[in-house]
Amino acid sequence: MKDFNFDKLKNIKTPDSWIENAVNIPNVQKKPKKVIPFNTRVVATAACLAFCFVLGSVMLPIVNTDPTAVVRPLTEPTTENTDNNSQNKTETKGYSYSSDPTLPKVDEILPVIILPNGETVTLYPTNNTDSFHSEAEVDEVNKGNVGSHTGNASVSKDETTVTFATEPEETVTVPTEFPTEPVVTEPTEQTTIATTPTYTQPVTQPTIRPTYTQPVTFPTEPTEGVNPTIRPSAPEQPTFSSQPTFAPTEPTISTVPSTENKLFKNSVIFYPENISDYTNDGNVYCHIIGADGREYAQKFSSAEVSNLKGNYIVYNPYNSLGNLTMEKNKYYDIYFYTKSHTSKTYRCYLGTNNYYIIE
Amino acid sequence: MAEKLYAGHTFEEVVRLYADTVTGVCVMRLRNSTDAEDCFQNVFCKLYSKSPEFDNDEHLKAWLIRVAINECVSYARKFRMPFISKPPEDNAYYDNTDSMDMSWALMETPLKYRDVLYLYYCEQYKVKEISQILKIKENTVKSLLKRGREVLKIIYGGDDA
Repeated sequence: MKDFNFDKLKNIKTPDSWIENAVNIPNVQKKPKKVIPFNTRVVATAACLAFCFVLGSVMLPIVNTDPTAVVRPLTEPTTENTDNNSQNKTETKGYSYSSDPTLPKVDEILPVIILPNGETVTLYPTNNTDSFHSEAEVDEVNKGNVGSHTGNASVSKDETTVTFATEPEETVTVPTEFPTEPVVTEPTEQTTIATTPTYTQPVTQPTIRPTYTQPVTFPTEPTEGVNPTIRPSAPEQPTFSSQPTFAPTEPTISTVPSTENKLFKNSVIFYPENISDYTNDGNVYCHIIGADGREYAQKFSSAEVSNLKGNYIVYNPYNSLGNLTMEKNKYYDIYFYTKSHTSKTYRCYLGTNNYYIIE
Repeated sequence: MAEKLYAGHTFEEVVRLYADTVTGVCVMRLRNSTDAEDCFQNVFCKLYSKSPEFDNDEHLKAWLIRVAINECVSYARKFRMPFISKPPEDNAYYDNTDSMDMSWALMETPLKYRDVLYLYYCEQYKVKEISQILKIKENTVKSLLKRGREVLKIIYGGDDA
C-alpha cells in the first residue's frame, strides 16, 4: 500500500493561457454595443408581427374543431387561461405537429384525451409503438378537499378505441378547479365512452368506466402538458341537453396496457444533493434547470425530507417553500441524486395544476 | 473612470492571486481540463460583470470558491457529462508524480467528499469556514472529512478498508 500523506495534496496549477484569457475579460466586455437604428427596429418588429401572422394562418386550420372526436392531439402549444376549457374538443384525425423550431418538439406536444368524468389525461408515448399509455394525474394537493385519482388510459394507434380503467372502488372528490361544462356525455353501458358527441369511428373495445359515488361536475381548468406560448382558437362547444351523470357501476377491465412507462410516477423525484446524512441537516437543496437555462434552487424543510418514498422525496412543486416558487407552464430539467449517489435528469413540464415528467 | 477594486485588488491581481484556487475547484469538480477552463473563465466573467463588494481577501476568496462550485454544478448538469474514470494523462497541473496521483485519487472520491477534502487540505480552510462556504453544518463537514479521508486512503492506496 502506498504511503499516504495528506500534506502532499497541493493546489493544481493554472495554465498560463487560462490566466491571460481571464485577465483579458475586461477588454472583451468593453466592446461597444451595436446600436440598432430606430428604423431598423421598426422593420424588425414588423417582420416579427408578419411572421406571427403567417404562422397563425398556417397553424390555425390544422386545429380540428370537430366536437365528435375522442382524442385531439395538441398541434400547437397553448397558453394558460382561466376561461372555459376550449380544448375539450377532440378529433380522431391524424396528428399534425408543427415543424417550427420555436415550438416544442414533437414528443413534447402531448395529446390529451377527456375522460368520461371530464378529467383530462395527457398521453405519453411508451416503448409500445402500438398504443399510447397514460396515467391520469388529478392530484390537487394543498388545494382543499380535493382527492386524487389515478387511472390508465390507452388509445390505439389507429385512434379507433379508447380504453380507460381505474382502480376499483376508488372514490373521487369533486375537484374544484375543473371546467363546469361537460365535454363528453355519459358513455353507453356497453362499449362507447360517450353517447353524444358521437365519434367518427366506432369504439370497438369495451370501455371501462370509473366508479364514482357521486355525480361529477366537469372541470373548467384547461388541460396541462402543453407549452403556453401559442394557443389555438377556441373550437365550437357542443350543446348538451342535460348534464351527464354517471351511474356507479363496477368497471370491467378488458385490456391492460402491456407496457407501463415506469418513468411517469405520480410522485416526484427531488433528492437533496451533497448531503451525507440528511438527518443532521434540516435544510436540503434541490437544483432545477429551467427551459431558459437558468438554475433554480429549492430548499426543503426537514419535515419534507422525512417524507421519503424509496429513493425519492415526494415534492409538490406548487408549494412555495424556501426561496423560490417555480414558474408554471414551463419546462424544467429536474436533476437529482438517489440514495446510491447515482444521478438522473428528467424533463418536466410544470402546468397549471399538475406536473408531467416527459422524459 | 477609476478601475474597480475587489477587496483592494484590481481585476488582474485577483485573477493572478486566485487562479489556482478556482482552477482547483473546477478541476476537482469536473475532472476535465476543457470543461474546467470554461467554468474558470465563467467565474471571473461573473466577478467582473457583477462587481460585488468584498470586505476583505477572505471574503473575496470564499465568493470565488462558491461561484466556482455553482458554475461547475450548472455546467455538469447542462451538458450531462459522463464520468471518465482514469488518471489524467497530462501533468501540466502538477509539480510531480506524487501530486498527480494524489490529486487523481482525490478526483476519484465521491463528489460530496471532494469539495470538503479539497478546501480543507488544499486551501487550508477550517471546518467553520468550509461550512460557511458550502452552506452545510459544521458537524456535516467533520463527518464528510472523516469519511472522505477513509475513502481517499482506500482509493490512493488501492487497498480495501
